[in-house]
Amino acid sequence: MINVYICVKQVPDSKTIETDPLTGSLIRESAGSVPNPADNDAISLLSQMQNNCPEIISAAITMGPKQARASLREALALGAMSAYHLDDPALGGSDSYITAYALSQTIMHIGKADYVICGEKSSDSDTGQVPGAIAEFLGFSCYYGIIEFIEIDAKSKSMIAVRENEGIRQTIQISSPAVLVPKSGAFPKLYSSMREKNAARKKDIIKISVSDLADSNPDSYGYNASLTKIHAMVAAAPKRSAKIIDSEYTDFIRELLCSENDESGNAIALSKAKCTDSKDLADGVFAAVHLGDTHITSELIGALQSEINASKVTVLCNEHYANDVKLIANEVIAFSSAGSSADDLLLEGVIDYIEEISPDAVLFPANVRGRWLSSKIAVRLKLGLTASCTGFIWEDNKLIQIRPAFEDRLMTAIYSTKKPALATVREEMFPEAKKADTEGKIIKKQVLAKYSEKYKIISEEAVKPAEKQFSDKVLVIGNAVSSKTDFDKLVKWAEDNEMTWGVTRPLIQGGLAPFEKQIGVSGTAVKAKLAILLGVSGSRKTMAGLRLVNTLLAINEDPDAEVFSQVDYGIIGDYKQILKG
Amino acid sequence: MESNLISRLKSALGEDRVLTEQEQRTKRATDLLAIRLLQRHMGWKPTLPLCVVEPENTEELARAVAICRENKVPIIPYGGGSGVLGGAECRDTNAVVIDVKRLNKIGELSDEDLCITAEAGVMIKDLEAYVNEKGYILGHYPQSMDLAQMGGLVATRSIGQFSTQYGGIEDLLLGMEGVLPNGEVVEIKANPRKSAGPDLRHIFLGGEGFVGIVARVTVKVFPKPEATWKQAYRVEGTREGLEVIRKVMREGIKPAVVRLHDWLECEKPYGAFMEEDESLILFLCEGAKEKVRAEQEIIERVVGTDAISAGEKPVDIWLAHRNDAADEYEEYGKQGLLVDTIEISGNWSDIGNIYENTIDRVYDEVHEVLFLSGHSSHSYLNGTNIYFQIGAMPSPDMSSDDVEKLHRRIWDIIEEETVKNGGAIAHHHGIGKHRAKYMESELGSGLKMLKTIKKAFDPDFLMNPGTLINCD
Repeated sequence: MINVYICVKQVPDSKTIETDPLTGSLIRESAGSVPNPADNDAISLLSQMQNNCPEIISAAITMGPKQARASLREALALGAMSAYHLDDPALGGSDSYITAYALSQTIMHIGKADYVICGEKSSDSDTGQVPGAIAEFLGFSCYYGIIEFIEIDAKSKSMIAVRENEGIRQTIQISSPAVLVPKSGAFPKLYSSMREKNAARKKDIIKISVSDLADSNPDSYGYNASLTKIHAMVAAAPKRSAKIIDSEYTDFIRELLCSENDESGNAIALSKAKCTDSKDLADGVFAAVHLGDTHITSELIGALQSEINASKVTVLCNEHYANDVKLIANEVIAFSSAGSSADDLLLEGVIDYIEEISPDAVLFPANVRGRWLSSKIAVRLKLGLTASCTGFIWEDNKLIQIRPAFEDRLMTAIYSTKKPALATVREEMFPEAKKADTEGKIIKKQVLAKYSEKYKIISEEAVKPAEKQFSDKVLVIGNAVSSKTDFDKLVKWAEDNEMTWGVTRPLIQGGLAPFEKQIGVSGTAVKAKLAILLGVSGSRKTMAGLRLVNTLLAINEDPDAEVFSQVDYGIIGDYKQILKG
Repeated sequence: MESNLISRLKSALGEDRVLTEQEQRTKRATDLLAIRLLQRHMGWKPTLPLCVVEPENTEELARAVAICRENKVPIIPYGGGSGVLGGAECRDTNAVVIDVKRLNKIGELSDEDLCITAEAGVMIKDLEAYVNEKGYILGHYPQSMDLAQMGGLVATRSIGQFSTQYGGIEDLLLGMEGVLPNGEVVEIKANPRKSAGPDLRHIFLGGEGFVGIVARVTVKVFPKPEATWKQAYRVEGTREGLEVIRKVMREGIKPAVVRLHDWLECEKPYGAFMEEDESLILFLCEGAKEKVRAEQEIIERVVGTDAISAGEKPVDIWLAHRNDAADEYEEYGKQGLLVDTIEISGNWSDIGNIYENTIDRVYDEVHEVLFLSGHSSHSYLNGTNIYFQIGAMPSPDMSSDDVEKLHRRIWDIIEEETVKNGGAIAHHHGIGKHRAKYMESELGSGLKMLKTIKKAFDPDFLMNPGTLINCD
């Protein structure tokens, strides 16, 4: 018998989410709720494991209000054998640390787990920290980035799976107990049939309260026990207002295409101003954890320098990376140890550093390893951790961490109740660190660490990252462009200017472009520095796909086109002129 | 002949009114027939018309129709393209699409007579905005609000989400002008009511271009309502909910919105306001405050203890998201899901059976079905409609034709059960080409009458062939 538990979550439907126009806060009831999209990969993995091994006994677990039962029903319909609902008023306001604690308590209450499967992250809070923290609370290993299940051995309970993280694909043999985290979208999407739904409706859902748990103290849960608190919450969508450019616009566009300026219209930067106005200089003690990619670490330092004017940043890393970062760090603490894995060494090293120095904040990259490492440290030291930060403020000797939620529709400012604040930092958000005049001092530290991950690598290969459909600069071709000749010219113009291109829905319907090129609610959302919109009317559906573009410029003949109220630059005129420039 | 026809149309209407570019023909070759959203991802390609004609006024429209008829080519009238039954879908490469989008002038609004005239190509959202600015409403809010045009709404016998108070388009249309298959123009005066033989408006209402094209309409407007009351109620199940609505409608009141959503439709949007497995009733009353208060009191008295209040929030959620479906459907197509909506109606004594039998049979017989839910959204003294929402996952080895068969299997069950239980095969989407198959079971001997009308007006079967009546 192999016990496999799957943690699922019912999340507000981010497509329909609304914010209060005055306060910017989320109108939670407005959203309706759906099973967390990433949980589908978890259920899909469970279903493959069950098909491979009849010895598996599975249960789905959720924590949340009554509508969370819908997620359990869905898990039951798709193969989970039983369902547990942790529902207690004491849980309200739990952050990811407390959520992981409550779920791990529930898992221990239900029975001995061999595997726990979690979706990569929830679409509402978007932290990706819960799986790692559950593993730490349970004392399990945690495997992120699983893209394929191969087999499970009923006798030894060990399994073989493929994982892919940061460009390395490994086939590994995993020993139980472990937390398994499939990569979002890696597993086939499962749909429950109406029959399965109806059968699931008839099954019992077992209700669990805090009083049932080993730690039955209500004060251990909920908002009061949480180590991070919300300072403010605002809608991320900035109001844009178009600056109208003269009809002789080709020079202006040329300039825009060449400039690297990404100030104007930056959704995330603008919202930060709304959270607070503080501009104190930060003279605290800050550290950044270096995992091997100097560019990423440079951004961590750059974040502290550009956002809060940090005077000194220490980089923590494994000994053999020390020379890579000494040019950007004021100080490098390099860990070494005999016979431990790189990750374990870093884990113990950072913990030693925090205990010895008690810094104000420690930053990690918001990638798989960064999330894994930070959530382990948070649990071990009982520290607050904020995920995927896109901004920082130094206020009253406290680091306020700004992060998007709900697929970037909301910005939240968060602070930790204890020092140091731990935060993972989203990539490509901050400038690189300033080059120091002198090399940072390297301090070597011996660390006592041992292997904690119980896996064997069967094979390993490097994989190329997938190419992005839309680059930094995007040409959006709208309905006003209806002739094939013009369309082809525009596509060529885009390619000549090193831009990628997309279209609005009518052009797909007109057969001018394939479905993959559609931008908008039912197409792709674009993250780019610049988008030029030609003959785009500016419907809500199209503009929703362009929300995260820093600078939007629209060219349209109709001065009353809706698009002009939603872009940074407007040109009233004929789009064809762009081809002459 | 082809190029001859095109040059005749061009010389009669002007070069720029006759579009032959592939992109223009592709855009006007289809409507929103649900299965196409999926088939497009499976390599299905539309049949393109010979050309698209865009007349600018009734006279040009009449001239275009006459020329097509002389050349004996099929005509497909095209409005907003939001139909979901293939009424505007081209299935003949010789066909000429007549798009009325340039007939877009709005006439004067009469406060005294409470009506407004608009040409067929006026978008309903533009007309609504126009009358709103002057302090009125149209009272017609179909889910296709963003796409639909006035002519198309009349031609498909449309209904709006507030119909229980304001009525369907047939109650709102006072008079109109239309073009007959021989190019003649007919005007039907706008009057409050008349007793002058059979009502000729009904040749065009729901005619879907089968014997004529709507050119201009005069519709009612209403003063903006001053008060609103909203309330949701939880009920044990669909049957119980239908019973509550029946009792409310019996009182003779006309709340603008009376809806009942079954458990599956409630789970996502309203889960926070109810218990699992329950159904939800939504009421919205609007108008003068005394009238609204009276309706509220009657509803509260009739509902009594049969249902439990769930507050007004669910109604707000419905109002905010009532037109989101269109986007979702497109997304489903990309995921390989077949999604469709099928609306039927029935008397109070039949409607519960239609709902339950349909759901049971579809579950039993079509294993690809992932969801089948239903809501009642337009209620009357004598009965209501059920709007089924259905999703199915075709197996990966299915071809585009197989998917069409699967789609048809689901449709057959729903229409069969509806007719067997005394219901009507279509409540407000119309017939188009997809549903024509079921017209015999719907009309019985009446089908002969419809065919006779068709032949009398359109002996060569050139007007939107295959729509309403199969071309045999």
